[in-house]
Amino acid sequence: MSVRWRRTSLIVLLLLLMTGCWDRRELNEQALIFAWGMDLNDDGSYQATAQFAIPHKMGSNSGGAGRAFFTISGNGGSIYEAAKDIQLKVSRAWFAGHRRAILIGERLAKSGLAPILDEYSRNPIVRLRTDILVVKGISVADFLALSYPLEQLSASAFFRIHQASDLNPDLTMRDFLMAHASEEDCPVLPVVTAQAKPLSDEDKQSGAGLRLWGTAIFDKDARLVGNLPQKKAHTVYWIKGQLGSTIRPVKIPGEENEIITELNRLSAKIKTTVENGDILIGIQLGGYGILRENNTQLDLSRSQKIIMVQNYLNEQTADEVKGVIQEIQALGTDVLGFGLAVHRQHPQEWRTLKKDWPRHFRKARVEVEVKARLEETGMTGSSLVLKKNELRP
Amino acid sequence: MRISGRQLFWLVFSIEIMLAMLYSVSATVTAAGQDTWISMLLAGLIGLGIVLLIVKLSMRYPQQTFVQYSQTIMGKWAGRLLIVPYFIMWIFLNSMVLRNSADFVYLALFTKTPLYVIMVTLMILVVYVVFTGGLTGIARCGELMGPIILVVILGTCLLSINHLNWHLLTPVFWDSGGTGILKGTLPAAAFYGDVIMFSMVFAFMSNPKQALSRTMWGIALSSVLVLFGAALVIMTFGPELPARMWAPFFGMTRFISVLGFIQNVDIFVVVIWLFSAFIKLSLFLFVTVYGTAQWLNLKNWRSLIWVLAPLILIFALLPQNATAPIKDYVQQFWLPYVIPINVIGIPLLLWGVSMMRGKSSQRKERPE
Repeated sequence: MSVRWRRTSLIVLLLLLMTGCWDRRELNEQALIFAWGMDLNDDGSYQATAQFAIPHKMGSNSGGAGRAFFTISGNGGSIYEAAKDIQLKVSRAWFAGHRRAILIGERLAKSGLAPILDEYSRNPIVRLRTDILVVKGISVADFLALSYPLEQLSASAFFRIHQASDLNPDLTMRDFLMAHASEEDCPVLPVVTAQAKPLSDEDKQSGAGLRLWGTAIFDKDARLVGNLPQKKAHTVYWIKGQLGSTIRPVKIPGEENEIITELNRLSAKIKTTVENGDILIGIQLGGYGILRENNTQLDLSRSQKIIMVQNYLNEQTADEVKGVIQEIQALGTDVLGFGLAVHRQHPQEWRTLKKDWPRHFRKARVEVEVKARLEETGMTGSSLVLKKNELRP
Repeated sequence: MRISGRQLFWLVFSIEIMLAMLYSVSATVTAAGQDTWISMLLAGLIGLGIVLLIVKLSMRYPQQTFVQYSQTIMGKWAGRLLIVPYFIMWIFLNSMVLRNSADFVYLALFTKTPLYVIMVTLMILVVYVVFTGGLTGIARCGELMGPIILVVILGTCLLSINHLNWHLLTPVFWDSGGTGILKGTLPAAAFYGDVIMFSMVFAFMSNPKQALSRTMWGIALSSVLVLFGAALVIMTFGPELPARMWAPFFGMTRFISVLGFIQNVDIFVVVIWLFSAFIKLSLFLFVTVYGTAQWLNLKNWRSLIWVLAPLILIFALLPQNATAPIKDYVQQFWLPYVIPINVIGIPLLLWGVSMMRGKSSQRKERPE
């Protein structure tokens, strides 16, 4: 029993453990899931739909338009049971680590997401960095079967369409869970839609009107209670400080057409005051504007005209924002972060307010001030398309 | 066996940081919400206090280990009796750390590998380094792996910066109040309690004067990093979600996405977790084996490995659930018994008695 003998036996023992992984899963023996859909059946069970990539069709330059995926649906009383039902129809064990989008049917959203969200944060393979979208006007199974001409996997199209609208899809799931778990906020999710059935084959090829429709508003029980079309949804994200840029038309009195401005570097400040239970919420929105279209007869080479346009822009935007806020207040769902602001600015009063926040939120007085600065008007003063006699000094 | 001051620093740092970083945040957030960072600050100060107590006590007998000087102070039999709670702590702490380390790897990477395979593999490595290298070997591993742990933690913190919202840290103090913050401090401070293990290590310092400063720096650096880590977690997930995650810091690293292509860096955290677990386990096994040998007056401490290592392994396999043990363990064993008795009570008693007896510390021979 020399030291050398012991060492040798230890090394041999260690070698036994280094023979590789026994629960290996080769890439070409797996089915990769890229999007996952959940919907509610008539009998209350769940329908799950998975979009699988077809590996040998991916990455080829020649067949760019070809679908590189297929979808399979299954039914069951929970996500996992529905998933098991799908597995019966798939020849390979699947891997969900690449899943980037979860699609929720409108009916399921209305009945509440709380029973299904747990799995998405519990499974160690799946990351919290996931996009969730509500599908409107078309069943989730049909929606996932749509192909999109620019992407081989339509799952990337959902994700990118959301990203291209200046929002961060990676954070959707986290923000939803955070808002749902907090005592102040209500969650929102983006809504996508596509042309409803029946679809011809050609429709399926061309994306079938796949579009980002707007935002779904959920209540504290994660039930869908209202929808906002994209234009109004922008306002919500602006107030929440999550929006990068937005397009605002400006109506000039006495002019038939509008001026279109693009606002960048958006900012939002919420100042709250609480007096004897009365809540006043002052919102100050800011941004830097670029004038994109001038369809009026104004000569914008003169700075007082620009200031006039800027004032109209601020007034009209404020009115519109107020309208959206009133619409949301009527639902009693605080998706705007007012509760968070009150909590931070008046922590002591919040202790009593939080017990009945939806009611307080409904009757809170809101003042909106927009302070956008119009900085650029482009390369021309008055419009080049106007005739000389149409120009207004 | 001798270790240098720098080695001691890296040992303290790499042993204290990972468990506190991964597991203390969740419990603290439950009690303190967005004020977790204040709790962490207090916990760090408590940790420094514990270090001060233990090092001051040990430095009265710089040539002796804890087992030796408790006999020097209290006499042969009373001193030996005092080691009983420590022996229990050594065994349980070892098996708990082994269990947690394996659980983490199991949950994060190998969900289909049987847990005991991970444990046995880890244990073989640990036994190897303790048997062949002893404390010197462990200290050299610490010197090598500690900086890597530091770099990876700083790196993950840096990469998490892009979606932080500092508003989530407000309102400060109002929601949790003093009681909430203190309640949150306890579970976090508990994780620094295992610095008591180093009372067996100071006797091996080549320059005992460095013991205090190096241990202090080790605890300070890890508690500051845990404080920042906790604040980043709150700024990423808010004050509600981290309380329900089993390792919020790990959750945050899984969330990292910079420029769309720096993603999935969580594997680095698993690697440094293994580094930390390895150093922690081997040092603790060494302390257990060496301490038990001194306690029982055995000459050949190495042979005890073959008795104690399997015992630890068996205890580690006993709890059935994967993530619950760490919480139960801290709440039911560590906080009510170990912290008041082993970490504070007995050392204070020893210190008091030693002070009364004056500076008559007879110098025993330094351990080999």
